[in-house]
Amino acid sequence: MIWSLTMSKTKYDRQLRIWGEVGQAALEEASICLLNCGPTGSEALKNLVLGGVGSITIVDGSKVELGDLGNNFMVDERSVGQSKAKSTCAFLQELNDSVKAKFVEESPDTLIMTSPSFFSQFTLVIATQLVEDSMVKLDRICREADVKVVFVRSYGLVGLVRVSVQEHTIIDSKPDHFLDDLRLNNPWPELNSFVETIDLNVSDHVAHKHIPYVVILVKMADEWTKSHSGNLPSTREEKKEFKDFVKSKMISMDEDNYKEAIEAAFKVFAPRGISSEIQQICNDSCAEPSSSSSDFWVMVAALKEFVSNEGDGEAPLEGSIPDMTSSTEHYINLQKIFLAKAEADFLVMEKRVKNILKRIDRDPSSISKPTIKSFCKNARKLKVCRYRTVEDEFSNPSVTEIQKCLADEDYSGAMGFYVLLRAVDRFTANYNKFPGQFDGGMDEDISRLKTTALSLLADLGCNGSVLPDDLINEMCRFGASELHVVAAFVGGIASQEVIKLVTKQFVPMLGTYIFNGIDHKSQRLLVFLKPEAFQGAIKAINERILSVLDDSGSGRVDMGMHVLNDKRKRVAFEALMWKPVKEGSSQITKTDAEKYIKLLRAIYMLEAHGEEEEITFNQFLDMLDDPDWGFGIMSTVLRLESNDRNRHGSQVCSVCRYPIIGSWFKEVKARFSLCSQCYSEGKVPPPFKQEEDYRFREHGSEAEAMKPKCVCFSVQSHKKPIATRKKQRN
Amino acid sequence: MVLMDAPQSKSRDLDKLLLRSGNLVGPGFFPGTDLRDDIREYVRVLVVGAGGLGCELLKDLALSGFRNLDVIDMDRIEVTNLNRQFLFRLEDVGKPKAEVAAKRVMERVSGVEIVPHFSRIEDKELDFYNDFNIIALGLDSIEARRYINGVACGFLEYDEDDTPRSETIKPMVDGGTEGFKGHARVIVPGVTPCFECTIWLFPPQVKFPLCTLAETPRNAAHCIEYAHLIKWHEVHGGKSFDPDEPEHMKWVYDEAIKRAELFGIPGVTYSLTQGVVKNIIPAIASTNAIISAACALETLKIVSGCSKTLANYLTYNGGEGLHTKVTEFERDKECLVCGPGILIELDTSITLQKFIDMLEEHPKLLLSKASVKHGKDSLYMQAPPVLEEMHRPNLSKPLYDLMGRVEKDTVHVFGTALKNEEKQSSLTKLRVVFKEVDGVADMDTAILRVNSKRKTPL
Repeated sequence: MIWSLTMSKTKYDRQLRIWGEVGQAALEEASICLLNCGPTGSEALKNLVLGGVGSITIVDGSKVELGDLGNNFMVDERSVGQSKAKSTCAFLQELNDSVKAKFVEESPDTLIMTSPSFFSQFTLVIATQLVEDSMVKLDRICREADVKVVFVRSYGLVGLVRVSVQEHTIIDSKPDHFLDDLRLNNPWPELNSFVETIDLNVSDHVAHKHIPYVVILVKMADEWTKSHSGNLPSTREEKKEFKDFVKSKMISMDEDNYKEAIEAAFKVFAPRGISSEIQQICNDSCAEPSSSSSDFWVMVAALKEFVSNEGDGEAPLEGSIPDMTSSTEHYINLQKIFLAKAEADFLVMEKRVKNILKRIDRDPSSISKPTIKSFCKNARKLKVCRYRTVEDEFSNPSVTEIQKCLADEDYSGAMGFYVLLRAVDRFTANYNKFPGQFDGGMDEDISRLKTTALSLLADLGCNGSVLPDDLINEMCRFGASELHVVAAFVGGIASQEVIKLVTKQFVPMLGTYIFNGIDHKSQRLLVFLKPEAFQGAIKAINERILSVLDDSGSGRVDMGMHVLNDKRKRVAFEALMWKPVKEGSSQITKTDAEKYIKLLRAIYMLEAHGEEEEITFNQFLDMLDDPDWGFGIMSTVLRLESNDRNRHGSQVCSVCRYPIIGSWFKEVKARFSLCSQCYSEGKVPPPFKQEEDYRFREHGSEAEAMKPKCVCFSVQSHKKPIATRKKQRN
Repeated sequence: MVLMDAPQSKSRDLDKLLLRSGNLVGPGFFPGTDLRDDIREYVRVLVVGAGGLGCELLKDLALSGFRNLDVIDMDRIEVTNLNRQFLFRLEDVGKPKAEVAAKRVMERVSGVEIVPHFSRIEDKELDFYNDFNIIALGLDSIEARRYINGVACGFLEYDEDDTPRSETIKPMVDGGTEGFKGHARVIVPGVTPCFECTIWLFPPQVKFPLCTLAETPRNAAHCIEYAHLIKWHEVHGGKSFDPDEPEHMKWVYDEAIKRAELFGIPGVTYSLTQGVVKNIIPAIASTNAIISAACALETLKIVSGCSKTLANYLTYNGGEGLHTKVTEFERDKECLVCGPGILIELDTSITLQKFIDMLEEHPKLLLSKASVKHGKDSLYMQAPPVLEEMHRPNLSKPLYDLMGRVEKDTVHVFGTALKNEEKQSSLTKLRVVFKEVDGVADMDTAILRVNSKRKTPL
């Protein structure tokens, strides 16, 4: 027994490093049902069996045919004529004997029709190769039973993956880029008193260069506020001044701790309090606890109380600090202070959770300590994902969005195939075969599919929209084939989503993913999200870009820079030139340029590599304009900016002359316009006087700003209130 | 059981793609049974690596109409492979990966021939690699990728006008994964960027400064690296550390624990010790499956033209939501590995000394103090003095002889070049063609003739 435990720990070592033992335990408890075990389904299941999922149940009523040997690794010559479910099950069991593998020799369509209660025993159903009618029915059954569903389909060179669950809440969302909460803008008493014990002016050079930057910044921010009537730096000038102030304390150029302090200075200026995304979760109607609330929402309710009481606007402290230049002693002490505060915050949270549980007539200790601890540690990373029902998606599509996507170069392929995947189901309902399924009659099938697709579009209300002939022809050429590699790709994605849903770690995909194996210009169509999920996602992206771009602490996000304006690029270049060790030079380090551009595309995964190569302004321009370097983020940034520009009619701030993004403040009488930054700094354009009394009207508030970005869904389709959840699980 | 009404073939699904004409296809797509049969009969694919990606690739290719596959891997199966390398079972632990992987796929997919090579990639002759139509890479190290890339690009030849000769192009598909992230790319040497053109895509490894390890450790990793990099050598002297030796690992772990206790640092575990010392990259089945499938699909498309080809780099990130993106990277025109290099025509009598002098005069090079390398052999080195002295006798020998009397070949020259009125170190690739050797007498006039009159002392 002990041997087998160590063995399984070794066997799963590479994945335990990703989702840990808690995630693994969740996986081992999950029971997964697979509908149809063609290559798409069996490949999806294979990845889960290898990872050690608890149990699998394969539902398929068909027999293995010769053709199956060409696309499905789970069947072989000996299994021709046998039950496909049985053969697949036997092979999968071979991969991992700790998985309980079962099969049901029955057609999924029949099972959906005749035994809806069958599905309630599972954690999750992977539904592959279902046509529209069965998808809708299964989705309805699983919503009722609170069973998660992942729909997957391979069709020739295209595929589809769609998650369906009423609500999925995540505590440990494991974001790629996340900054530790250091509270440099809001230090608590114990941190302050620790900082006071350290003398920044220590004469010993070795000691001086081993003072952690957290100490340096807290101290200097304190000094700053004392000489600035209690305020932290807020304007661009003040921020630069503050950094110069920090720099002035360096006693030699090799002091990495001071370099780190200057780089992290923006954390001193960062706004206090929780992010708008967490605020939104706290404001959710589910955060009013009732006896049917899940553990997650009970803890959110406690968080909400914490933030407005002990937290003073902040979430519980995580207690972790990044590695930084420091003596061992200072670092360990700092670590202890952060951990102590985290522990104190946790105890408060625990008490609040218990009280809430009491209030809603639940056992006060029904949420375990480790769960609350994990919640506190991840309080800034909480995620809530909600999905529309498939029926809602199919019957209330956003017409304008379909039309818009079909006309958009980047989205037309994916949306075209999305419509065609529905059209082939309608085709098969009419003609009892998929278009191009059999050889011969191809021309007829093409014209029939075209007619079917157009009438589908018309039924959806998209009169006048057309689908490219190329896509229709390709769809008929595919003839409902299930290619192994496409199946392995979309099946792989499905299993990845299952892991995220089952472990409750990471963030499952939103929307409908259309795989395009022709040019890989696959897209997630966000069209079919519930409005609030979409709003959250857009906000998160917005916030992410803004926070990332403002890493330098400049206080202004210069999106206008990307509109090929050399003057602005020069400004960026000069900003990068300001570095303690580099004064008086006309070049910047390539590392800095790379870092800057890396931040611009920070949503992306590729990391820049650093070498201390120096580059000129022209080389910097090349890098910036290079599609390789600027990829990923650029189009998003541009799109966001152009949305804002359109919204404000290309208004330019009268003070800083940058295009206005975000809120637009217009003076009522003098009629000059300010961006929110200049407005907040109390600036007015030169011909006007500072003292005069101006009255501004704000245009493009948050709600208004959201509108153009949220047209991608139809608001009227959101009929049912969110709070009608059947039962809770957590 | 015989299916009377639906005579089927095993290629039922694939036939739709290979036998039918399409609208969105690659250039030179000739659908039909000939295409399908030629792929079966004549196309040879080499899969490099039989690990997480390699196992998937072999299965994917075997089920995509390929019947002649080779697989090369130097590793043996370990228990930690079993969570994703689905061709291996517990009882296979210790056996060569390539052999077991080949056997398992052949057992299940009839008609497929897979030749395993339990060998280092460097131990194969170059001709071995030239026999394949396409190479699929399922590797986890940058060094191995660079090596295969160098080999494949080495086969590439250019015309006089610097267009690659299509018959010398050896395409590659390359996959890589880490946790929930991965990439798949298509490398067509001379046409799309090679691995070296975009080497900057790979982040540098995290290295801790030695003074931190020795003097101011702050976290568990610092303690582990101290034990691994400093303490081991102090105690064991010349005995080298072997990460695959459990006793060595245990020793490092124990030492790390001691050090952590000394400094009051929490968090040293055996698992973390292994992770830090071996630089373990977390890996799961699903990401490998996704990336391998993309690579196999591109292999099929490159070979058959049955659809458009990925241009040229696909990234996948499945951690936060789902993001896939295609980026079209561009070639580095001066890439030393896949670029044409500067063409230089020489008499067979030119000595190495004269050749080095010419480099200084060459308008495109203006390279002074050049060292010269031919393949792995240094022909001349400017420094250090010991090596300079060792190679000095070569200077008076004809370059033609030093290069093994071949009519044409590549040399790399390294020296100081004048660029933008600044002196810079420069490494350049040259294609040397010797005049008056059979078959190359009629070189195009575009060849840059080198002024060989002036002599400059070194």
